[in-house]
Parts: sequence; structure tokens; C-alpha cells
Amino acid sequence: MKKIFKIFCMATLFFVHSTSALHAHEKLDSYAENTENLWGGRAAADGGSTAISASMLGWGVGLGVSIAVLAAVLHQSTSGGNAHAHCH
Amino acid sequence: MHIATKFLFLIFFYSTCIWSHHCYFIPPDDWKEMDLKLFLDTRPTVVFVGNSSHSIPPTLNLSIEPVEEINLSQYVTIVKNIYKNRSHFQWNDLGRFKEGHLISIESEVGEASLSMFQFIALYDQHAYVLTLSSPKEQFSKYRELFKDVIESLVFTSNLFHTPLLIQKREKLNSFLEKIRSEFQRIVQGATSKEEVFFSREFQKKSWKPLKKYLALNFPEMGRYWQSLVLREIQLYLEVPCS
Repeated sequence: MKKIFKIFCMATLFFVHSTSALHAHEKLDSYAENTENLWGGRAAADGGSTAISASMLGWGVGLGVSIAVLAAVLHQSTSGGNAHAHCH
Repeated sequence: MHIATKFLFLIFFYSTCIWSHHCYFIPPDDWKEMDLKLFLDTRPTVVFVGNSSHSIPPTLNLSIEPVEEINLSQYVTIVKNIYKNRSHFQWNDLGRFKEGHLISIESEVGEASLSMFQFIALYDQHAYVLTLSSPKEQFSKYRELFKDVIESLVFTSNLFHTPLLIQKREKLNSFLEKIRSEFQRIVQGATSKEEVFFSREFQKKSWKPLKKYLALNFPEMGRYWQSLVLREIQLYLEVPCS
């Protein structure tokens, strides 16, 4: 489960760093960087002592928080663009 | 023969939907559904974002975690331990709410402060986590709206099991049959079902009218329910929803 969080945080960071629109926005960069800290950086540093690593359960809440932050960031980066697109 | 085919199609379609388990809610009218592709491989089930003059918009998202042999209070205990281990979170257990549990969270994220409601419910061996967020200074403005969204949550094994739909089922049936026939007609000789589904002809003649029909006839069910129904139909036509 810890792996899932790490992958998610890495994907978040990768996305943030590879999106030029976000690079242009200093505020968003720090915002996204802190997202990583929410569930990745500090938790990873804590290693086996965290509740996440002690249990396979509960990642749904972490994902919810991360997505909330990411959605705000993505919405800003795509505002004026096509943030609204359905899958069908 | 034609009637029998029609009948079998509808039976099969509805039973497919019955075998699935669903959770839907009514998002605020003017909020937009975000493209899940933006979230790479960690796609949540659905994300809505509101309009706001603030640099950070309000959002809501639903994530679903498979859980086995655990009850709500056990799951909530695990969640609380997760938050306890994160000093950069301020959280508050708001206790039982509807058939689930509500937690409020505050977090400093960069220069911004986010406030969130997190509603957790267990259904059919899955934890459903609805997270609703807004900038801290605007949270009081959205609090009631967020509670309305949470109160609109429905857990069901059958998307079509609503009194409203029973009244309108006949018309929906004929719509579905028309779509299936149109799809079958175009699919003859085509290289893939996906190609047919996204073809201008099918989208214009069948899919867009269906979307419009659902929006006009089932506004009470909300856009997320409509979206789930469309996904079910798309999957039934064997076109993966990307």
C-alpha cells in the first residue's frame, strides 16, 4: 500500500514537473510540492512507523485528499482551457 | 423474432446493471466534471470542480477502496491513526452522519489553507470516500452545500431501481433499443466497436440524443447518475470507457 502512495506521489510530482503550465505558475508549484509532503515525503521518511505502512487499509482517504489538492491545481492550470471533458 | 431480440437485450442490459454495485450523489448544478485522464493512473471514480472567483476552486471527489471483513468503526479507527501520524493535518472527528462517518480536515498546502469534509461509508466490501474541499476562508460558504451532496448519496445494486425510472422505463427501453440497433447497423464492416462508438454518425444520431434525453428526463437524479448510466450503456456496447 505504501507503494501505491509512493507511485501516486511520484506520478503527481512527475506530472507537475513535466507540465510547463505549472512551471510558469510559482504558486502552483509550491502548492503541488506540498501535496507530495502530505502523503509522500514525511510519511515516507517516517518509514515503518506510519499507520499506512502498518496497515494495508485506509489509502482511500489519502487518495481523496491528494485528488482534492490535485484537482484544484489542475483546474487552475487548465482554466480557460478544456478542464471539462467527459469520458463519453 | 425481432421482439424476442429486443426483450433479451433489455433483460440482459438491466441485469448487467443489477449485478454491479453503485454509489451516486447529486453534484451541484453548475459544477464541472473533470476529465479523469488528467489524474494519470491514480484515477479517482469521479471529480467535480466548482466555479469560484478564488484562485483555488471548491472540489469534490469520490474514491473507492476495496476492503474485506471490516466494519465502519474499524475502518474509521485506521483512518484516524493515519491522520494522527500527520502533524501537518488538523482534523476533527464529526462522528456518524447518515450511514457513514464524517471527518473535517484542515491543511496548510503551500500558501493556501484547505478545509475539507471527508465522508466515509462502507458498502459491499468497499470503502466509499467522498472528499469535499474548499479554501479555508470559504468553507463556511460551502458547508451546507457539501452536506447536501453527502445527504444525496445513494448506495445501490441497481442504478435503475428508482420509482422515477419505473415510470419512464418504457421510453428509456425504446431509446436503448434504438441505440443498440443503430450501433449494430454501423458496426457491420467496421474495424472496431470503439471506432463506431466515437464515429461522428453514431455520436450525432444516437449518443448525444441519449445524453440529452437523460439530462431532460432525469434531472432529479443528477449528472453523476446520468454519467454512470451512460458508462453502463457504453460498456454494454463493449466499448471501454477510457
